[in-house]
Amino acid sequence: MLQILYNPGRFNDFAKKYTNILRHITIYLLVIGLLYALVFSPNDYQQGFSVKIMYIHVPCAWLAMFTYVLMTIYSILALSFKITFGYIFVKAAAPIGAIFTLICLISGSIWGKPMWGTWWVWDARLTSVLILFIFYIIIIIIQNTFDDLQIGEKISSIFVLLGSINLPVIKYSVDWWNTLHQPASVSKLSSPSIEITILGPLIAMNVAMTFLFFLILFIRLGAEINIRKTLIKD
Amino acid sequence: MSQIKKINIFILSIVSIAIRDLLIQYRKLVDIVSLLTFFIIVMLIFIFSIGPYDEKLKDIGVSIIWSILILSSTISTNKSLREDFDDGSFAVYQFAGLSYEFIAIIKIITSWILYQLPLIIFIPLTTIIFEMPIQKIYMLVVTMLIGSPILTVFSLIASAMMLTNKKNLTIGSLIILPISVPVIIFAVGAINADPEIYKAQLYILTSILLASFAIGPWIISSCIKISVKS
Repeated sequence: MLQILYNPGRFNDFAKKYTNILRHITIYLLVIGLLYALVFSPNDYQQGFSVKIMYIHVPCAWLAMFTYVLMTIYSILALSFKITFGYIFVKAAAPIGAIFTLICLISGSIWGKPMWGTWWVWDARLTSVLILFIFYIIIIIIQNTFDDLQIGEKISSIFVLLGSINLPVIKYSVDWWNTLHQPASVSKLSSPSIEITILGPLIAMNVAMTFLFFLILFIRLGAEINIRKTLIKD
Repeated sequence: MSQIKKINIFILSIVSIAIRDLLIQYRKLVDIVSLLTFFIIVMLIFIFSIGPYDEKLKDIGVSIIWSILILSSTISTNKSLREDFDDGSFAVYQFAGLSYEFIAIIKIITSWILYQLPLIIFIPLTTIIFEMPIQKIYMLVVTMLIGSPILTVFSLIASAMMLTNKKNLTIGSLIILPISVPVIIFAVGAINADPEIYKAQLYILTSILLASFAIGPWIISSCIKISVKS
């Protein structure tokens, strides 16, 4: 059962079986989450309607980091235990992470204009997320430059490990520096500083976007495995 | 007896590789001269784009010098390891019984002497243009002594990654620039900080230096191994 996490053939069978079900679940969750977030949740008493940008911004930020964590784990597996599925995973996941980071940056700056008065501030959280986006772009570039496919994927996994230093900086940047970006308020489960009517749709959107991520990932991984199959046959 | 002989041969081979690197580069002194010329020209371009306002230049002179230092470390990327890889010296090193990690450490030392030491000697002279106070020049040299080995390690990592890449030569510099962001933040921060609190930033810079020395040779050697095997 655990083999679907690192065996390409097993994973391909698993993905073929369950992608359709995953697609249905994702659509239902997205519809429920968006309706809950945009229609049924109340406006903020200070921010008004623009608080609803949060329901896109926070899931994308969470997924941008989650993708990089997964890529780091799989590069370690690939480089140290010679598991080829890790390279396939890094190649499939990097563009998804880049897009989520881009959405996070853009939605954040749209939210920042009415709230903070500027599109962009050079504060620690924003800068480190921008660097995360640049890392994603460089990983994609490295994968596509080399003539030899194997060298490209190995060196891009090394670069993934090198860039993972950025992750704790993003996580703790709001605690280490005095920043304009607010500190984390969701993860304090013992004393959440968010009203339950806003926390509910936020968690719903988080779950829905995570399912969306896994759906796209399954499709891309299947495509990548099939491409490599044809490469081996030729 | 034979043990001592082996160690002697080992040390001798390390020293001879280092001397060989230094000699090759000494005979191509043009590279170092071009590095210094690049430094002067980019500094002039910065000054022209800002305008000849003395007060402004006094404030941002340090930032200009540090950003050119990082830019100039991208020039030396394509030279340091590429030549040895192309003429097959890496195979010879391996036959001599040296691991790639040791070669990486030797390369870090030699390329720091070749590409960063001239700049460290040269930059304090150029600060006359910016009319900086003597305290700031002193701090500039200190941060450069701590920070420039980090840049050397990063540029060697980039050049080791790009050994078999013949097409796209700009990626080497693309790799260095984002990972050297913390270096420039803490170095310029230490220079511009108040005299009482600059030590914290210097300590962070030193810790980055030690970490990059600890991790750098392993990354460089694994990248070389990947490229040599193909």
